[in-house]
Amino acid sequence: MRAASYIRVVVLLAISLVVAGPTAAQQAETDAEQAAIGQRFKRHMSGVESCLICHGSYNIVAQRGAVRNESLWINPDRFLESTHARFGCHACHTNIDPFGHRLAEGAAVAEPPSQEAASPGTEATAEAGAGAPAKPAGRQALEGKVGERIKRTDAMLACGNCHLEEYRLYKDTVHGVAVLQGGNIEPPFCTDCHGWHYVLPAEDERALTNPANIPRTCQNCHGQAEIKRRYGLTKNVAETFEHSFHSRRGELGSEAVAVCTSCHGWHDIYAADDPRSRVNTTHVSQTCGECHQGAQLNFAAAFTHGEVSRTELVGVYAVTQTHKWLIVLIIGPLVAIVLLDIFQAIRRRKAVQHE
Amino acid sequence: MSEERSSSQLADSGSGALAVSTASAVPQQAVAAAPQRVFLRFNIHQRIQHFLLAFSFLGLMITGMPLRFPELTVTRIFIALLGGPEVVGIIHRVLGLVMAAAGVYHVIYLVAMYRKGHRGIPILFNREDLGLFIDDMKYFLGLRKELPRFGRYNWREKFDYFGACFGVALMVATGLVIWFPQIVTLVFPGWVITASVLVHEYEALLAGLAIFLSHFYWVHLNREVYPMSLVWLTGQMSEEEMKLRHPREYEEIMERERQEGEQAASMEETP
Repeated sequence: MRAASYIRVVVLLAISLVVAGPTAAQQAETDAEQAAIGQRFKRHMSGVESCLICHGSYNIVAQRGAVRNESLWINPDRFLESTHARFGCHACHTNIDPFGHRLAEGAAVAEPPSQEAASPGTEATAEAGAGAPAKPAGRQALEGKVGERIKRTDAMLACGNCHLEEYRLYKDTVHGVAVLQGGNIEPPFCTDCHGWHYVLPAEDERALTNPANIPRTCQNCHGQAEIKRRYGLTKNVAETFEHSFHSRRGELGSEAVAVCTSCHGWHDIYAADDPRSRVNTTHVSQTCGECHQGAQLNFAAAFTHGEVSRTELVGVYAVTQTHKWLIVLIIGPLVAIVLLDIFQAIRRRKAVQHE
Repeated sequence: MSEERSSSQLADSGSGALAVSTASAVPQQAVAAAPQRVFLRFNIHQRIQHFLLAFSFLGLMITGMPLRFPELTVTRIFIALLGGPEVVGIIHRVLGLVMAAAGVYHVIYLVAMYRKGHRGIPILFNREDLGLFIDDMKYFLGLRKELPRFGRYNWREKFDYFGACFGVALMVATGLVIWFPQIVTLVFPGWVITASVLVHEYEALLAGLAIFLSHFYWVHLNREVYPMSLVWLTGQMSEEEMKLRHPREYEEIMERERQEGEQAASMEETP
């Protein structure tokens, strides 16, 4: 019975093959189907789905290591919508052992190749030496700090595996130097501005790097008194920006609007006194000139994060203080006289009524 | 006095005052039983100037305020209705030019009046105003029974005029600085732009408060004119009001007319 049915199937298949023949359309269909299956398989193997079985469903809380007491829950909807979902979990979490499922000790994330190594001529040597990548001093120092949030730098190196150009720009900047060479884990890197699991392209309104959200993203640090004090940052960047036409135009819904990054740069932010900085006097008129044709150095000085006070921007301070007093001294008496006239009117009406 | 003669006198007032201060016997059109005399207070040029100024002022206030309060929902709805911040920006600049035009018109008018032989500007402060101001304050405080005897313009009107001139000049100047910052910074340091933005803001606040709290009270809400004094449209003022508000000017007009009448009489007598 079993053998008979098996033979029947084989015969039927043979007949159908002979009769119909593999047409081009059918071939394409099966190819597409196979590709889809392949994709799904890959995605499954890369862990998006299998990882989310746990991490998307349960509020797993880490109980050991650097991330103790932190929730490991991933919002599956937000994650699958994010830019990186298609690459799977392991594209970034390179050091997670999918079987033992714990941080494989000693197996640090792959170091992104250095600038020299990435150039075509030295590719072979880079590959040869990949077994033992040289670690920068700062990074070694970081790895020594048990219990600190090493995962942040790990993440950065993971980003650099694909986003090499951005990583190279970043590592020399004021933020990058502090992190990589200073061994400080507080200054921002990739994930502080772009987010962790829910990275979206800058064009997306919800992205942390969308121009409309950039000021808030930067203010996560530059708007906090404690951080500003600790690193000696310019005090009133948030306030002065909010009072500027740049910010107000944005709030009113204008699309052509300058935010922090428009002047200070994206992956190439340097301290203002660094000649490489876009807002350094060597470049600033060029930076302003991107929007304001014919901008001179004088023009650039018009937009400053300086405080209007007795010590800073004294000219502006004098003019505005004078005007404030002018308002008080003029409007006060004018309103007083109006009020007097109203009282007079009431009093006179009462007097008439008495008569 | 015929009507033609009186109107020609209006246009070419020889009272020695810059603004037309000669009164004339224009028969009142109103339904008043007894034909009451009306006086021309503002001529057509002055009315057009005031209209341009008022129109541009209100428009500039409406289109400028959103930039000061961008976070309000009302602001956003308003901006969206007008077609976005760019459109509102263009309207604001055009209205600014209208305001500047009103200012230029006024200066040309002053020059023209001067060349016609008018000397002295009656709306400027003079030494009598201090006494009148003190008397007015006494009246407001109830220490004085009657209104002070004002001339053509009382101290409040003079102050409004001064404020308007100062305000328009300042707003047009700082507005142009903000409009053309690249050109301005070819000559001036950058903080001039920063200061101009702030001054433009403060002066708008000052002007807005002065107009809405003080000027609108006197020309709209005040019990004597409520709901609105029509003088800015008709330019006319009744004899009664003239006697009450501007008694000195009224007397001057009466005196001048009496002298002119005597002159005319003496002309007739001498062949």
